[in-house]
Amino acid sequence: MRVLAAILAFSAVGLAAGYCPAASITFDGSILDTCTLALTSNGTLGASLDGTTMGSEVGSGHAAKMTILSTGSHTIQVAAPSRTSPPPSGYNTATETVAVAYSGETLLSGVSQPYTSSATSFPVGTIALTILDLNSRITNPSGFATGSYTTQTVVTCN
Amino acid sequence: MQLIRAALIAGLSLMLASAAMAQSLSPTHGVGPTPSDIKGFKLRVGNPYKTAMTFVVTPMDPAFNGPVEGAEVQPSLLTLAPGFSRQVIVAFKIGPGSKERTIGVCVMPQKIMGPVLPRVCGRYTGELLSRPGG
Repeated sequence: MRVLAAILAFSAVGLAAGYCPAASITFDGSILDTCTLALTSNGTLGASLDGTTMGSEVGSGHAAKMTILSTGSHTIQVAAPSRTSPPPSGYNTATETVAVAYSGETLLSGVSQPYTSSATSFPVGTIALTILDLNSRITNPSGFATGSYTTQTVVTCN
Repeated sequence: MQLIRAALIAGLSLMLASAAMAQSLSPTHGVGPTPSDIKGFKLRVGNPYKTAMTFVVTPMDPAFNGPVEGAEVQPSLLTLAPGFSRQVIVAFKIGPGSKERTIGVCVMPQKIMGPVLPRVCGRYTGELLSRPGG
């Protein structure tokens, strides 16, 4: 009883003095190194008026768009492009060249690669969601036979 | 499946605290010890698209050129709702005579058409603490 009384008395004094015990609340979290690639637009190939190019920047073609989100240091590798569709009958594959070009927007505005048939890469650090525009083309001075044409480039974030 | 179970029994190396937001692949790098010749990692695969997507998760060589033997990912095929993520486990054997092994793991959409194929890959290294029986 005496202990209870002492506690009540102490509490009363504390309240009277305006004492309010405080406690700090801590929130914590962590970010692991992560990379996200999301293809937001596939891109299509159009035909040039002179019949020697099928590309995303000619005719009805349009660029592919990919978003990149990176936490930590990564490398974006753009593999050498290739034609993945079987050659239509009468198409001369010996004279074709497949190439890819890309450029970055906003946080990747310093990234710019002209058309190339080789594999390329560029580093990225921690960046918020940013768009990379990719264009692809097949050039063939022998022209294009009737049929479908598809190119593909593998873009890897690692 | 046996590789996965052995890795769990041998002491799976858990990665650090959970990611603040699930992404396509997290973490993209990992190094850890193992007391046995099997090493495992927990990874998280996320779907950043606005529709449900099915992803293929494949153990690869460190240069991401092709699949490798002696490594397994479970599940290797997963369908995720938009904005959702899921853990996968990768386990691989460290060959006899080796003190460590590095493999790659790549995640890519199962069906995606068009001129660009996106994939996210990571590299993971298992280091032997000691050879079994030694």
